[in-house]
Amino acid sequence: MVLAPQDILIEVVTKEFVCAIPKKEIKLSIVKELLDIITTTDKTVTARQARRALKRISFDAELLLESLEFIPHPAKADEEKVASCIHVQIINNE
Amino acid sequence: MRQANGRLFIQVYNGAKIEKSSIHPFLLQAQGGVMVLDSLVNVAMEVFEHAAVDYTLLSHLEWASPFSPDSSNLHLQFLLRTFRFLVLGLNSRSTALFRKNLQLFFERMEQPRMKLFFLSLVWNDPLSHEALRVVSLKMAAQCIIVDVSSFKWTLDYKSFVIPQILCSLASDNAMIRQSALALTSLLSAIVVSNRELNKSFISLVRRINEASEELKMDAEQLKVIMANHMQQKTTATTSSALFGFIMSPDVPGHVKHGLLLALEHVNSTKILTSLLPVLNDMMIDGEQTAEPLKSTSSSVLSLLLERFTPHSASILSSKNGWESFLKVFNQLTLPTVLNSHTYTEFDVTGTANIQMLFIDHRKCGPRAAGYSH
Repeated sequence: MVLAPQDILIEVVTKEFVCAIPKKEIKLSIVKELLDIITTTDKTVTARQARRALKRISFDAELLLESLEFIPHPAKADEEKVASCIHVQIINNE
Repeated sequence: MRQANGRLFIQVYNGAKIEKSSIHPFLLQAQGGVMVLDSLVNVAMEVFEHAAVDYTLLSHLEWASPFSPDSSNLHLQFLLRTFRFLVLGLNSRSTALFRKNLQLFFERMEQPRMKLFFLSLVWNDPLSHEALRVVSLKMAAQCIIVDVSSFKWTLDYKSFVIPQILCSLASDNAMIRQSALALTSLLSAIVVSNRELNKSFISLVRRINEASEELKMDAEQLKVIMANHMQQKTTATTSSALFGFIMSPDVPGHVKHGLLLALEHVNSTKILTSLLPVLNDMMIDGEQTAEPLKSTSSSVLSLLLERFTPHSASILSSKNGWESFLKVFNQLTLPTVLNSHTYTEFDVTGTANIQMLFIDHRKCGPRAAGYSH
């Protein structure tokens, strides 16, 4: 059977391994890489391994907080745009 | 040996030539499909006696891979093939003849170092038959036992002998391990000064000798013994010397593989950092060829990647460590051929020990069975 070094390294990613990484950015990068692999690979084995690796990792709020941070949109410009779209729609329906 | 004008000549050291008439009858028998064994041996030794082999290689080389595809070392290949022929002939009905010719074979290797180097090529050759490897280990022991104290050089940190013995001790074959342990038993008796105690492999050899019974029973014990030994503060130089062989480009892949197996439980961020150049070089080599990695190279690569453990995870905080990790993680088109084992489903509920990684290629289906380029 032919496997890639990538497959071996995915198996390295365990709960203990990720916990032992001192930097949060690195942990997040690994999660991102696993997600990339799942979404881009055409190899069933690799995708399954990456999915399992993600299941092994413990996610806590602190790790994901930055990714979940709410970024407010610019208020007036968008509201006007939405309002004008709705206005046009109402007119068309009439 | 060369052919000119239909006549076969054999070039010898002193420039004299032997015309074909002296071996003509044997060649006729061989061509006719009938070759008496004794005749075959005589022809082989005739060729051996007059072949212009460069024996100085055996005293100058530390490492060699005579049968690697890019090897041009015909002298070593010739010697190895002749040795193999003579040893396998010891099982024939002409044992005495083969034994006598084996003695003639080694007479050309005047210095003990030459013999030991040659024998180490055999006993650690992954392509050699296991019986041949056992015989070469036993012959090495016979060579050393004549005057053990004169083999103090084998314990030097630069010497090829101890790494080659460690590779044999990592073998699954109990006979090979037992024969290698006979060597360590002899070498452990060498007397060294207190100053040399931490500047040579003597303490490691003595530790291995103490654990010989466990090693005879179980090949995995070598990893435990090495790990326990390397935890001592006084063994830092020994550890450094052994990992130095793994980092050296001159050392053949199968030796690196054997050493990585023996040192599997000796790991740390510092050690893994020192091995990163080896990992990077292997990845670069793999990228430059469309061929799958050979099984020795892929085994070495696997063993290196398995060193990314929770114990060494802090390596990812360093630029080099993270870049190397990412390079492998993102590598999509580098195929590697793992050892030809049957794979079964991996249990994710247990600890992710890479050695337990098995993938059932039957369940994965043909689409996931390999890589398309």
